[in-house]
Amino acid sequence: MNITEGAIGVGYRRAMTDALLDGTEIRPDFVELAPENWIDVGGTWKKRLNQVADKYPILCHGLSLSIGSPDELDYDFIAKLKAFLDEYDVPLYSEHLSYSKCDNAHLYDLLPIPFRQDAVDHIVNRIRIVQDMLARPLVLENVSYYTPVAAEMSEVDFVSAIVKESGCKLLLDVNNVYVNAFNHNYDPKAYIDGLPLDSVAYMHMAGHHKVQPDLIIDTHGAPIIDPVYELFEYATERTKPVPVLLERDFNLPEMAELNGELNRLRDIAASQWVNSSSSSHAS
Amino acid sequence: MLRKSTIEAQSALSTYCRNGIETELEGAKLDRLPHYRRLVYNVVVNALNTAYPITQKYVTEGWEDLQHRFFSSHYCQHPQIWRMPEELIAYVAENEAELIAKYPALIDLLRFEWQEVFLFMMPDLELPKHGDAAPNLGDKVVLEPEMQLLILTYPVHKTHPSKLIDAQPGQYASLAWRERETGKVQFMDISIFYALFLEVISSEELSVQQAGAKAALHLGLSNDESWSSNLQHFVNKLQEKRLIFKSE
Ligand SMILES: [Fe+2]
Repeated sequence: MNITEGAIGVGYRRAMTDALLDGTEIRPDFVELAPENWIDVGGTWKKRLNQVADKYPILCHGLSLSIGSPDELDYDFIAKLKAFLDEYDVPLYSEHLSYSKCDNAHLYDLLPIPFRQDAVDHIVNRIRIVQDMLARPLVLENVSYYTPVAAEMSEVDFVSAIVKESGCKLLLDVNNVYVNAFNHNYDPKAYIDGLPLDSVAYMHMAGHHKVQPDLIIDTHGAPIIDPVYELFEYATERTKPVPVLLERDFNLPEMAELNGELNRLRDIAASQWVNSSSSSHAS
Repeated sequence: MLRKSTIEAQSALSTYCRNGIETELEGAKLDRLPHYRRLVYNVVVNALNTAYPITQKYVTEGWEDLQHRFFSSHYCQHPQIWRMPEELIAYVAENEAELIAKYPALIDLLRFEWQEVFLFMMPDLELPKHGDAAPNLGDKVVLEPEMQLLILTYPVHKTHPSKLIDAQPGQYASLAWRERETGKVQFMDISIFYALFLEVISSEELSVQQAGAKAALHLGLSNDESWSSNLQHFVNKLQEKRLIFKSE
């Protein structure tokens, strides 16, 4: 299924199903889901997912690929993933530039990779294998992190090197740029300028929580704040039109409120990306 | 190739997230590390609590410690987190003799709770071709594939968790299935004889009567004539619930 550039989507939570199917309170152009939560699922939720998939294009955002892991890739899992992406005609599959498995144990969360050249080489190699197996480009996200680990280069150089050397696409999570810039004292705009922006294929927007005066945790549990909208505007001025996703995983508000955030993103995207048409689902 | 020091740094961080034991980590802000442990561990604990709400009530002392031991020493294998809680069952069976001695129904309860999660979520299985008429004793049958049997030592399927600590060991069986119309998981307490009958008939191509006879022989009920009329009742009951069908 094709997805219009500049389309605005929402992260699909099961609690949203009725509202999405009804489509009056909330009308995204597409929904994004984690394939790990749906692969090999049958029964009630398979039926519900199929209903959602009949109404909206589905983009996938994975959790367990663990592209940055020292462990070997899980080929059985990647094969299942491909079958799922094919079944739902998924036009864009993204993952995190992090690792979630190590020493043969899954951690089910995203850990920061050491920013080092050997890690770049290792990941570039794995990206090629995954892209070959999935027969589609991999879109990798800049993740939020709370401490660097064994870093020998900057985050922006690390991300850029991987994208340039592997030819993969970049999922620019604007909130993560904001969170990392705050937590690690750098200029978020300079960070964006340092990325290979031609490779951006997808963007994420989300809210976060400040837990200490000097630390923000990327919770996806609050509305997007104004400085992140501003940073989004800055990013959209410098990129071609791409799909944009609103992530909201916790503290789900009223659907109308969420739709308000979608509309605000849609307005910014439409004003920046003047030549792009917004998706037909929104009209 | 990753350098040894890169692998060690990655391993140190993930080990810390698993066991929570503070560690030296090159170039890391040490005050930030506990957030990783907290975030990782919350995800795991939530998954386990969601899968095992009754077990959590039954193990009144030591559930949190068990979760901690499990996640620090077990290597979680499943890439899908909703499948991970199943791994707790084998972990407990192999490593938690002391806890089992204190909570003897623990393994049965974990198996019972996991069965419900799994049946609710598992991939759809197609119903095999079958005839329309209700099966009689002389008929061969097909079974609903979205159905599972559990043989239990403790009656976890019919005892309130607060009473379970006093439950006596014995032989129990619970039949669970996913209703095709509603997707809901339903349970039925059945006798060991019926459980054995279902095991026989799902593994061998026998008529209801033949499978019943085999089960009766196994349990030493062969001289008791009542089993066959009871079995017909049981088959009727399964047929009403669309769990058993006459073969084509
Ligand atoms: Fe994101």
